[in-house]
Amino acid sequence: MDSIEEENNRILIVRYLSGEASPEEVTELNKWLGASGANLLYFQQVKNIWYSSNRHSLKDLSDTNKAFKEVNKRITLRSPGFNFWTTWKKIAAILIIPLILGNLLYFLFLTNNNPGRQEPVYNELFAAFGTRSALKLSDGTSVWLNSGSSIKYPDKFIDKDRKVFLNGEAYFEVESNPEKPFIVETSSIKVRATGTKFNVLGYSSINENEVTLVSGKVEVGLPCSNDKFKSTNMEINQHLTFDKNTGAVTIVNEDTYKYISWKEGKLVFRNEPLTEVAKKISQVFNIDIEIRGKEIENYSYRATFQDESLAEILKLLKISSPINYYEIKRNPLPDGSFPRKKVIIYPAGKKGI
Amino acid sequence: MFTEIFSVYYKDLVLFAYSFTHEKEDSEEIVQDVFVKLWEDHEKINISTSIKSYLLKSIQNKCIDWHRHKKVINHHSNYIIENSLLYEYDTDNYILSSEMELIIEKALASLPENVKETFEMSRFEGMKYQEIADKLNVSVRTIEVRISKALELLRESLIDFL
Repeated sequence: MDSIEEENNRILIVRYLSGEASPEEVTELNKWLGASGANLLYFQQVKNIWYSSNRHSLKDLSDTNKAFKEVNKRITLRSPGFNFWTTWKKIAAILIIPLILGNLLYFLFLTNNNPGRQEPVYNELFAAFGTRSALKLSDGTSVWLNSGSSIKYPDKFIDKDRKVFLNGEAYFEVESNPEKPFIVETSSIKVRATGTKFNVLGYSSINENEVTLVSGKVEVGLPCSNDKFKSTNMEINQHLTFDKNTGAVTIVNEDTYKYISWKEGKLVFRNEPLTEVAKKISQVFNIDIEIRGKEIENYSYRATFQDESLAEILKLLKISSPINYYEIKRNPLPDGSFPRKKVIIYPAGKKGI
Repeated sequence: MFTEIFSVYYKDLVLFAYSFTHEKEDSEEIVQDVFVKLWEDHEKINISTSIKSYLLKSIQNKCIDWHRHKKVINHHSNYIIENSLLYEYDTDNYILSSEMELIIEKALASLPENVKETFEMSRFEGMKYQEIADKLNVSVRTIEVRISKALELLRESLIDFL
């Protein structure tokens, strides 16, 4: 190995250890580790020195005595089953119960032996495009899930907070519990509440994350540098938008109805430009919409659609404004699947090429 | 016996778990789980190496599971578990923090002054490379080179223990 390459690899290790390596650098390092046993050994030894010489994290570790009490408590909690078996074994020996029965019982007790603290099981619910779902969580919180969104939630909340993971849009009516805050995490933001009603929008594929507060209070954690979050408090009837690419945050006081009306199957537009209308429709119906013609982009709409099909909505838009549209014929892709439906909207009276 | 093992190893093991998870509470929980298991299974377990090596190995396995679990609930950390070579240790030869504390002073004394200073700021005081660079008025790259130099020289002088 030449020395420049060697130095580069060592820098890579140092950056990895401090948690500053990029995903690409991590992959590169992993490749280097796989290249030879000597590389791997070198890395393991250096990593050992790095972590074992860490004195700053040691300081505020909880104390050993407290931890020992904790472990002791868990051991005693579980011992009845264990003791019962030991006693039972003695009786069995005295009564000369056939060995086979003893074995059977032993087996039963062993398999019944509960793993003390039960890990929650995570469920995932996905609302197909063009549909909505509603569910109630184990703490009584109600969740409405918008089209094309998914939510991961535990079957029971045993941690010190109630955490769910959202990709898409959902409306929450959180059951009040100040001791166990309810946290919604999207791919970029976190929303913390105790007992309130709010809407969160955060598709991992879309830059903007939005939070709308209907009642109560929430605290929104927005990512800033070094994996840290800074928090912002929101007030009733506020709508927050966060752009994960630029980091820009805007909060406006607004009629929140249009942001949450989707849960009643309504698509509500309040003087919104065609671009916004198209964006919303494409999200709900999982289609691509292209607007050809600058002059219609800012045409504004005020409309409420309830449980209408895509064809009906487009027809209504066409009737109420100077636009026309057509659907692009879909040809199967090489793998046999079909691409997303695509609709072209263009100014009426022109050719929509 | 159980009490002694616990009090001798607990903190060291939490730090070991911390090197995988970077989360204090989860690390403590993982180590406590391993001790509960050790207690419950102490008649069944056949420890072929040393108790230290057994504990390290159990924690390592649990930490890798922990990452898998995290991956399920948080698919942004995908790349972490796929690059699995980064994770494992040679648990039979691992030096614990408390052991390191006894031998590192002497090894550090043999390092060039600026390398030693940089290493101590990073590992003892917990400063980030950028912070050290700002304080010493040099580039981050210089800090990274010094840290890598320190690790290399320490490895040479600690090789009998590693």
